Amino acid sequence: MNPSVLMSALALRGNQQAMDIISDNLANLQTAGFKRREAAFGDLFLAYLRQPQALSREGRRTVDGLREGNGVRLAGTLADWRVGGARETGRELDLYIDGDAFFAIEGAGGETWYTRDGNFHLSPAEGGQWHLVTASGHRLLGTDGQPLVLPPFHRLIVDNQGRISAEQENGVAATLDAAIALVRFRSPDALERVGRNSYRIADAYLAADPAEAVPLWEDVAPEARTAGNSAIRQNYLESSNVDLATELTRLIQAQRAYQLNAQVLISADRMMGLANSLRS
Amino acid sequence: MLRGLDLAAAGMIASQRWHDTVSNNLANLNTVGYKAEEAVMRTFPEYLIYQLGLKRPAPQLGSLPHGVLVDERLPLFQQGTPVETGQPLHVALLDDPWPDPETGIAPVTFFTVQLPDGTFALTRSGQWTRDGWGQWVTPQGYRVMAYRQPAEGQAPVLEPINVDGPFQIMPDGRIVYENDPQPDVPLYLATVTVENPFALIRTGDGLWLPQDGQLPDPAPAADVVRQGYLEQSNVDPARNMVNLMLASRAYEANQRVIQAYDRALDKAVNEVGRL
Repeated sequence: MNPSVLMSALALRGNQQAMDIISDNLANLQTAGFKRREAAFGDLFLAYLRQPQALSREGRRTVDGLREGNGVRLAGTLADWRVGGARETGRELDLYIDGDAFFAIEGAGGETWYTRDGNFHLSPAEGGQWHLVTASGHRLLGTDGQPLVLPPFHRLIVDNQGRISAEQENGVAATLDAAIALVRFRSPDALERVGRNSYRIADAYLAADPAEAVPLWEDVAPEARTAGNSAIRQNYLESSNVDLATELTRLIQAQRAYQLNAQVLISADRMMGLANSLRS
Repeated sequence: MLRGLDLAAAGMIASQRWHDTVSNNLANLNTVGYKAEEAVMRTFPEYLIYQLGLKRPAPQLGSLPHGVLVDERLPLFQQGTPVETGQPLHVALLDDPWPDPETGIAPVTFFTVQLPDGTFALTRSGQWTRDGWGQWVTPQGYRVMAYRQPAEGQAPVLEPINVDGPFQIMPDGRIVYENDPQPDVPLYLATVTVENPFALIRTGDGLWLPQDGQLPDPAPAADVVRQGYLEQSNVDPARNMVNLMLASRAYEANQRVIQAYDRALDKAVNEVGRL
């Protein structure tokens, strides 16, 4: 196989994947709590060609043999976990985490999922009570591990530590026993996306040895939630951390790299045509 | 057979290999920390030609080369353009040292990473992330190495990095963070300066291995480490596109030579001696 053709084909695919990642970022420019991803490329394993022994070594600098590169691949998509800015919405059920913890929600199949998206809604529970749910209908969990249950209320107040007070029309307020659950991860890269702006812990880490000296994730107790340390602010939402200028610059780079490698492919094809027409 | 035919064929292969080198460079236009390669051509050894005939000793006519080949792919260690990303785990090495006056080779600084089988390798790519266990890794999963300044006379011991909470990487590679268990023996990124980087073996994924498997001892990098930056590939698209065209035309020129020999042979085989 003509190496140039192979390398340009791999580069076209790699740059296409990079553009897909950038498109995903741009599509989620306004999604609350969205964390952008970026492409990381790596050059591929090189083959080693032997050379004639009779060759003179004078002036040669590198190690013996002709090393041949084989192009590029997408080595990984790295998540950028930087916290997006706080955006005031004035909506009672919008919550912002001032720190690096995640909300815990009840995911499909009884699993616990995690999200940074604080745009919550009400969903009816039994007995005239209410659950707090995400935009996709998953219930928010409290510090007791169960979905939060709110009594009928006129106004809802969430304090910095995530404790919820339901205020009636006559001004009487009742504070729930369970506060909003927050989970902090040693490294958020233990999470994998499940769509709906949510994450779950990857299987490899779920099966981790529980006797680890430092746990991979931990609940953040309400008393420990202070400003900058995962305090909750009501009436605010977290902006997506996608920066338009950076993404467009990356898009231009990926497009130009795609074009250049298409030129390489044309050139390689032309050379193969020349070889084929040696005797036409 | 006709010597020129072999020469032209060798020329076509060499042009193809040159073309492949440039293709590899252009494929890695956006690979962080990639060092572009140049194909270095070398002629085969020449051999002496004698005149056949009745004279003794046979007079020498001169020497004739066998052909050309691509001898080596020389990596260019020029500094790639640093781009600011602002991410705490993106690190770039900004070194552009002077060549040593005796050898003419400039030393190059690298980071140290550990492969899954436990061996160590060097890399220029500082596009790092954390795996689920909190260790600093490259996108391929190789663990980034650090060391603490050892006691007198002892060799530094490389260890993986696992820092919880906010941290800062100083220009000499020192990692400053809260809750440092040994605050008086600071943690340094394992930066290694290699005197002759051409002697390293290149193995893909941005890795460079020493030939004998022995890494030089890590030492604090003198003001070359920049947190929040990435070193882009040092591939120059314009120069490589020009080389692509040159390689392609050289290939074509050699193809024409082969076609000319083909026509000459055609005459010799089919027309000479025809009745």
